[in-house]
Amino acid sequence: MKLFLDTTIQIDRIFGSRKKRAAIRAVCDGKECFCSGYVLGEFYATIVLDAVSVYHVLLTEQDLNEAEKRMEELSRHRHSQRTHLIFIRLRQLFDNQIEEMKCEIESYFEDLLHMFFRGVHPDLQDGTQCQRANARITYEDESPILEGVFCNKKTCQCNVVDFWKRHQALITLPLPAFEEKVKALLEEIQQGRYDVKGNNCRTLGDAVIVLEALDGGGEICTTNRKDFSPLCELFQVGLQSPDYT
Amino acid sequence: MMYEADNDTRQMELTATLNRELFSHYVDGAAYVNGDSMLHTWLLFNGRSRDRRLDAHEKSLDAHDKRIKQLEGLFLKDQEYDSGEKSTKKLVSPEKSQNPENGLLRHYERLSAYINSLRGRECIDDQFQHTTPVLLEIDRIFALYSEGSDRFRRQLILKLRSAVKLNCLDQLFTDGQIDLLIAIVNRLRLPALEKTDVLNCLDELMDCDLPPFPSLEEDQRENEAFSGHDDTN
Repeated sequence: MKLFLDTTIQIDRIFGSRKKRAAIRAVCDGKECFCSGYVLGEFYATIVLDAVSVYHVLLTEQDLNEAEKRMEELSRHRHSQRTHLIFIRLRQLFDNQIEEMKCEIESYFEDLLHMFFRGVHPDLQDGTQCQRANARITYEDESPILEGVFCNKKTCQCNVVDFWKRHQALITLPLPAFEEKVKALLEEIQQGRYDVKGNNCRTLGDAVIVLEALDGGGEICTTNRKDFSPLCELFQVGLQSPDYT
Repeated sequence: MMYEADNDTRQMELTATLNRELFSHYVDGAAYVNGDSMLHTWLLFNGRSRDRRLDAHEKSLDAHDKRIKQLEGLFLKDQEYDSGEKSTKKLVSPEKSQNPENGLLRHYERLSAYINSLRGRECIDDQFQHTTPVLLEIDRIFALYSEGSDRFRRQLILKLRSAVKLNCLDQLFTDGQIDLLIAIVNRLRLPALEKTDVLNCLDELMDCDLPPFPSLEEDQRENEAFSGHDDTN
């Protein structure tokens, strides 16, 4: 049996608690796990970008209390506590030694990518040819720059429009209960309008992932059962979630 | 002596009297001067703000001093090992140490011995106490490598440290896990170390259930951070 790992699983199997990691192992054991370039793009845009952001704060702030304030601002800006949490955990782990924290977070850039592919088939599904999957870290005066992780309608050279054209017929009305924005976009696609790049692409991210799982002949594995359930129902794809209770 | 003591007491009494005359009341910790001397009040506030900044700066200097003292202690220990005698007060840099290579080897040997001593522990509390020397020894070894030339070695040292620290309160280390930790120490001693070595060790740690990544979800914020993925950019 094949199992498609989504971004939440990819992050949880690295940074989840012992209990969560064991639950993920229980779901994945004995199955052929696979993934996609689109998920890799999301992975870069979330956890790798978080690591780079933490590194930048450590580079610019020599005082950890000032760094902490900067992390809080960054978390507010990104509407995510994860960056701040990485920082806090590193402080605890390395007893506030900024040099050790910097060394560790710098190693994350490659370690995280290595972990992404761990136990996953090396050939990724690539129906969307997501540009973000080609993101790379370069260095400018010793500071890392994550390039290619931001995309918009004008500059994006991916294949997501063709991807939706190929899958348009799978969208059958009436749609199950979706978030309004997702529902509106799926209805537009169903009617042959393909405004699916940039932010709309990210809004439809879960739908893309479910369709990639379908294309690869597998079931989807996610921690986000709530958002994925109606999509799996619509596209007739099996859904598996690790038991975190 | 008696004269000095009397003199001190007298001085304190005079200061107290002067303060009572000068300051009539305190609001939020700030002293307000008798009368209408706005200038004096402003100077007091300004002085307090400056004092706070100075305090913060002094704290930062203290932290640096502490770190320097830690490193001095490390170098002196190295010297002890090299000479086989009690250290003197004189600071000796690693370069000037009689045999830095031997010093490093001894650190590694001690680290292996400390890790080996974790074998067969029967309770977490017992294991926890024996983990501290391991972590301290790892810190000493880390401090001996430079950022530029030993990047991957430093990364692997920190992986080892994280694997020990993050897991020592979760589980009793098995013989297999201890063997792996010692194998990583042995790998650290090899002259050439590449990123692939670090990644191989990372795989082995994960396979052995000794993940070196901290969990990001042990407090209230976990739900915000992990209720589905966010994809902000």
